[in-house]
Amino acid sequence: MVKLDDDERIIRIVRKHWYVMLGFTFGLFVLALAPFILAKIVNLLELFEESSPVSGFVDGFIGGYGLFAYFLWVLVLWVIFFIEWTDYYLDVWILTNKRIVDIEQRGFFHRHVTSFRYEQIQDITVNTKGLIATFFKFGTLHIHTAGSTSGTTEHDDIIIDHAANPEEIRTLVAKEQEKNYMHVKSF
Amino acid sequence: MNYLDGVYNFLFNLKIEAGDVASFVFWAIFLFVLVVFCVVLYHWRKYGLGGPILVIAELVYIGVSALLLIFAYFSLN
Repeated sequence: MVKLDDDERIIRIVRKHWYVMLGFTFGLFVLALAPFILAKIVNLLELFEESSPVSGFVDGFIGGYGLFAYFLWVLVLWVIFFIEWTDYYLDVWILTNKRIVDIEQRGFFHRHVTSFRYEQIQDITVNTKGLIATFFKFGTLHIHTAGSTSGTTEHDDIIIDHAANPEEIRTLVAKEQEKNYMHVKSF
Repeated sequence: MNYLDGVYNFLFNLKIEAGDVASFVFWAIFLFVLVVFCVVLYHWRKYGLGGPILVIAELVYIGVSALLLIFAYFSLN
């Protein structure tokens, strides 16, 4: 959890669009059905002669342990789904009234956190490409910054691929940037 | 006889009990599910932003995993 200042409040949390997870979930669903498809292919192609010991072994295995193996197979896919979902869920942008915090989760044990104030933003670019991205409203958000507080690089641009509602986020960031500019100017 | 029969004969001569292998696989996967759950839970609690979605995720993960493990266990016996 990111620590906020006393007078800092979260305005919006931005994640990648759920469409990203949809493709992965579909892949897992196909893998869940794969044993049935594979069995069908083996039957259709008649890879093993009926009298062969291999055929007997396969039949025996499916009869005795097929269900057991299938439940465990689905369980492994279920766990893989949650590993991916965790990556998706923890990969966020937190927009506060003072700054933007970019948290990039790259697997379980690699986490990159960058934060920058609105004054540092030079330009925001939204790139929505293709029919699906236009229909589901997601795209690439690119924030060009003058420098970051992470101290790792001199110029650290922030890019979030497949961001949900990127136009809305851009408007929100621009509004907050203006508010901060007015606040700084008043001093 | 083809090469697959040779593989079968080799495996048959190893005299490995299918039940023992199944039992080993079951407990290995049980351990895998448990370890992943601990790691995932750590991340959700430490880095998650709270809210009901994580509670639901925890319940769904445990519930479905337990159900699949129970089904696998009983299909073994």
